[in-house]
Amino acid sequence: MKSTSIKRTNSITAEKSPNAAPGNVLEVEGLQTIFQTQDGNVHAVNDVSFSLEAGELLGIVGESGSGKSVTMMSLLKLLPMPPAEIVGGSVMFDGKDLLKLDLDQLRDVRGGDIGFIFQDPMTSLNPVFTVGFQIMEPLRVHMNLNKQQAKERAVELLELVGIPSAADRLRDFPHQFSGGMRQRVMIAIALACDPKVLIADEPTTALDVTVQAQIIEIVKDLRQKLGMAIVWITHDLGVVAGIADRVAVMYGGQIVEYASVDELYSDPRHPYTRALLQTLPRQEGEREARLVSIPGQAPNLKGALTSCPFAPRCSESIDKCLQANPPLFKINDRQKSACWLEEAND
Amino acid sequence: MTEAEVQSKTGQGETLVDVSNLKMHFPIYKGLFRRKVGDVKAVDGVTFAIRRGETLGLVGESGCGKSTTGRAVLRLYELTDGVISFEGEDIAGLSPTELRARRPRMQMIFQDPQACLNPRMTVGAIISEPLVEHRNMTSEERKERVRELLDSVGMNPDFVNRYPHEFSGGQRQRIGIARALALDPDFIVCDEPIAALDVSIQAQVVNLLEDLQKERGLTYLFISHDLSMVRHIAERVAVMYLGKIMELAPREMLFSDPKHPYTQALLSAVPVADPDVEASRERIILKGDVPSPSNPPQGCVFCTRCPVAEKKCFTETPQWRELQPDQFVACHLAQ
Repeated sequence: MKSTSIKRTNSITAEKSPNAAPGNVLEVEGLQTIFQTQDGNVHAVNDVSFSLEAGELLGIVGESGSGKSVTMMSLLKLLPMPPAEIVGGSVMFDGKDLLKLDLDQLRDVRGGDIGFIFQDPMTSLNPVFTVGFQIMEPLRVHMNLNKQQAKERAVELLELVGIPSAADRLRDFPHQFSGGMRQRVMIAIALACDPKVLIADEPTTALDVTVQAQIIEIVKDLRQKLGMAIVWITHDLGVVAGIADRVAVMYGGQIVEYASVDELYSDPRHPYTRALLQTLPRQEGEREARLVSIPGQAPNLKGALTSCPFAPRCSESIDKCLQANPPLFKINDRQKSACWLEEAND
Repeated sequence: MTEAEVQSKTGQGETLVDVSNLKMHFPIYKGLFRRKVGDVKAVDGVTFAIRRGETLGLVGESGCGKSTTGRAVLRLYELTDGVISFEGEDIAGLSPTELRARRPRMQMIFQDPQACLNPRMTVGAIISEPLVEHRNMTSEERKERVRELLDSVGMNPDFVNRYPHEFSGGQRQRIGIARALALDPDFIVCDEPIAALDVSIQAQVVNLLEDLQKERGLTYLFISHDLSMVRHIAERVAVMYLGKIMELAPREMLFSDPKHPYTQALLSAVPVADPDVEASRERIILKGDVPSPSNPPQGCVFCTRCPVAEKKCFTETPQWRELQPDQFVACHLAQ
């Protein structure tokens, strides 16, 4: 299984640029984001590091409040600052540190080389402009196309994401589209300038399962055709299993497990990942008499972490868990876990 | 409550709620004079029965009318047509006063635990409100009852004086459940009670609902779009599409051998948390979107998206028929 997913990644990379050495398009190192509030600082992202290979699909899984969206928003400084503040780390993209760019330079990257799909297709399109205008805007700004060229490209994009009679629908407003169609428009906008990296923040959470299946098919298909790297944020472990090459599991504002998709599901090493997989009701076979639940609640992130954030809910915790926050231990080339129980395997 | 009492309350599979040909249409008004120009046929002729002590799952995509059905069954709307019998008595035509006397027997748990609790009331006030309305209790008795209820939903009884904002989503949902239990109902409509909760909290709430059902012999109508959770909690499952029930069958039958093409597509679209399964399975991808309920298609409502539709499906409305004992389906082609 593992070998096929690697092959899949490589073949896409090879298709796009046969001579380029496989490398990382995006490297995030030690990212830290805090929110200043009246009750003190909320440490939303704590020392998050990950990398994204060309053509790879990285799934980021976590519950609400685990810091997955804030991490991705921090990359492009899309957070309101203040109250948000990026206090540390680097985001290397195309040889530049995105965190050091000024707003004008950043604007060239946003929606240009890095596309962003937001969670809620209802609120992320502007209701007073036509869909056509909103797709053409990045094309005219980033790619300097004239009106006619932009229009042609917009039609192409809408056809790419499977919207019927695309040329006519350019004149329509967002309210004339259904939820699934609006999400397709969002994808078309994100893809407009041939991004190297596409960040999708819960792109299917607001949609029904049958529409979700449609969108996932489209993204799989587009990956084959365009070969960009994708970061897919979700809380649904099922969605990630079907599309990701590697998965980062987040909890308490940090990555607690980072593994290739097959390792993560066949041999989850962090107790939180294991617990999360166990809470899901089975879809086949005998129904379990009782669901496994994780006791307690997600951690409050006020103040820096001084112990493992999952320790109070963890069934396997040892004394050390309450004394220090574990770093990511490398178990093998494909799997890392931030758990003191893995220290010996590092 | 002792085991024997629960047994007697549970009965032996007798029908508690019997819904037949339920219709709920909402008028559309347009123009300067607000003339009625049509109807949104949110629920358009559904028939099902819920047995005492069982959980009936009601699944479907957004806009298919599942919540409207749930509310209509409790008569939170004035019905367009149909019969709802609760313990053999038709409640569809009852007057408000008559209905009010029967309200304590049937309760509801809402989807959004944030919106269904009044932010200005304490937890104690929220849970005792139904007691004030329907029971003759002294304030001492009420306090005692509220503490009992909080305890039974797994919360600290000392929280009575706190406000909803002080609790997490899962805890708020527990408060909502405690309120629904206050009057010892027989029947509870759970309208997407776990949709707004995180995965790890969902299991806690579902376990609580199951425990309460066992202890008190409750009957649930469990509305959800999460098919795997419904598979876990419900004994029988009804699948809705565009205001109609497409298929109704016991859990095992429905999930292992779905008969209706829509059920098949719906089940195949659910992602499975296993990369091997995901890589090998065949998905049925439905084309297009759900048609508008104000102008549903002729014939079978699913014909516009059905992968196996035949000529007949576009003209004739399929009969609601019993394929095997206990397995109902509305499709011309299912066998």
